[in-house]
Amino acid sequence: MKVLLIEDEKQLADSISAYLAKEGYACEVAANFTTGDEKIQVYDYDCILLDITLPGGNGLDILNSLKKRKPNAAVIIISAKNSLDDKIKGLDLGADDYLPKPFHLSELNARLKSVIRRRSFGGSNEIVFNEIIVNPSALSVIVKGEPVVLTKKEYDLLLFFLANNDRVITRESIAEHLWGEEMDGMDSFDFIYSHIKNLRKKIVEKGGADYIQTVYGMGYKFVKK
Amino acid sequence: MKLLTRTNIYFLILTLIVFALGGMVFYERIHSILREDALERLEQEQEKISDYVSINHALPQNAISLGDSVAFSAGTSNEERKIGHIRLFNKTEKEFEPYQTLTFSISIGSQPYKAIIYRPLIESDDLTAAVAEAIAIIACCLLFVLLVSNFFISKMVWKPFYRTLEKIKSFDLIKESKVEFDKTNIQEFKELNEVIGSMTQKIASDYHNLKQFTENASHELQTPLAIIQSKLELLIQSENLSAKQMEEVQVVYEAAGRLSRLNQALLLLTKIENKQFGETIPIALNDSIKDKLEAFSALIEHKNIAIEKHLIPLSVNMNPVLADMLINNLIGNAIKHNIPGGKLSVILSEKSFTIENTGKPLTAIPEDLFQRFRKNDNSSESLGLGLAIVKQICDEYGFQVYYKYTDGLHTIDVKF
Repeated sequence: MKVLLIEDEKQLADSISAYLAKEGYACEVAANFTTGDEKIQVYDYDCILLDITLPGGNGLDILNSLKKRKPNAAVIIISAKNSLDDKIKGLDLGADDYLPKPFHLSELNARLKSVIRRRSFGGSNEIVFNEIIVNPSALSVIVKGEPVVLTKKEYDLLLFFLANNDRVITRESIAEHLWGEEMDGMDSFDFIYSHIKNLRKKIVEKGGADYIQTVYGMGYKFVKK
Repeated sequence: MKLLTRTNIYFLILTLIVFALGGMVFYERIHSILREDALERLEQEQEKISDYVSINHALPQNAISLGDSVAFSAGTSNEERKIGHIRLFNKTEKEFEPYQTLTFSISIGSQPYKAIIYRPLIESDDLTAAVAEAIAIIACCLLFVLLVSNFFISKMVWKPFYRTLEKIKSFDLIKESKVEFDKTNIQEFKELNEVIGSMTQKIASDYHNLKQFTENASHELQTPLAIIQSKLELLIQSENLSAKQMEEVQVVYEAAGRLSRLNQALLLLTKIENKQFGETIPIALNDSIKDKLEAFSALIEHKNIAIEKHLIPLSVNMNPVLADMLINNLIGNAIKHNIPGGKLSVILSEKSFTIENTGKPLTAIPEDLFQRFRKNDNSSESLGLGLAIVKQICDEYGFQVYYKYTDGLHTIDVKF
């Protein structure tokens, strides 16, 4: 899987590519408008992560020219300009998603996987994790051949865990993934615990393993045993 | 009181005093002139009578002018010549009227007579009335003319001042950077305009710089914050961190998250101030509130809060982002600062949106909580910007917002 990251902030680009490399993505970085524009002309990528404010030009112009030639290219806009205008313009131009900075790497990873999965036509888009099989198009979860009934939040939580398996996921990023910005500033994340507990219980009940580990003080980890 | 009214009142009082004094002087002068005149006439008549007597050697019958009368009586030759005043009954007017008298002696041959000439005087009542009337008419005319002219002249003279006032009143710091005044030739107003002009320009430029700074600072902070957060997220993935180290990373991570939220809240406040959320559409508040309660359901269940809602269908023209923010902050606060097993009631009526919730006692002054960084509980994790954002949004749409605390119940009332 090849990902192009068009981002001028080197440190941030390093973090993102390091996180994605662990997921098995080959991540190329373009640090300015010209390099980014050249790369999209020459190569094909599974997904492009695009910053809007770039030295040498506006990321939306790259998106525009890319979509003219390759309408199917997958693009996620990552922008510090948390402006509604940019978001609407970007999505209008055909971007698949918009993620305002600062974001959690786990969130970016989950969104990247979801975008790529939606585009993998032909092949099965089922997510298989040991005995757990998730079918995102049917919103169904099967553990050891048996369907598991999950609430919407539990389903989202499971998908988020699977996308970031074997990673420490902070409570903040889980809260934000499940409830969005509404949870901003909520000083208690205890309520996440009840959702985790229920999810764990439902998987174990069907004979699945207990994959969810608590990382003390920090969050959780979905560990492949 | 208007300046013009006040000057007119002073003017009126002064004019009345001047006219009253003037009236008295006028009366005195006329009175004395009339008396002198009467005296002269009496003396002339005495002469006429004397002449008549010396030529004709008889008492005259109609020697004197009409209205005056003369009475002769036997007297002594050394009758004293004197001037007197007397009130006599006037048959035609049926009242006593004042007369001036001149008494003298006159002799025909050796027979002495005492002659008294009576001359009616103008009644002082009448004179007073006449003078007062004249003065009043003059005063009224003068006052009227002066007031009218004063009104128009003042209007004209003060016009540049009122224009300046209008300009300042309509001056909007957010939209304009300076006030343009009309040209005036009057030195004082020219100076006033110059001073106000340079003052507003300074205020506006300071204000814009400050806003620019806040926005730029917030923007520039985003990137380092994003780097810190991403690096920390990578760091916690490493296998060889000790529990102690993990704990410390957690503290840094939380602080970075807090900083990031703070930054975003400040940026939002600046954006609202800068009117960057101009576009409005009708928002069905009842639906937004229901959705928001739904979004918070995890937390509501977690805290075991009893919800009570009375919502009427109500649509308000607002920017969707700001409407969402307003409801989010109000409901979010009511849940966040609630006590376990507490209550939350949401009432949406035609005129207002009221949120009432149980919570810790209020120690701060309610109105202060709408200021930035004011919190009821200083140790709390909250940023202290939620209600400042609420206030800013309400100001934007001209809503009134009130905070009240009674008997463990916190009430926030937004009046549309």
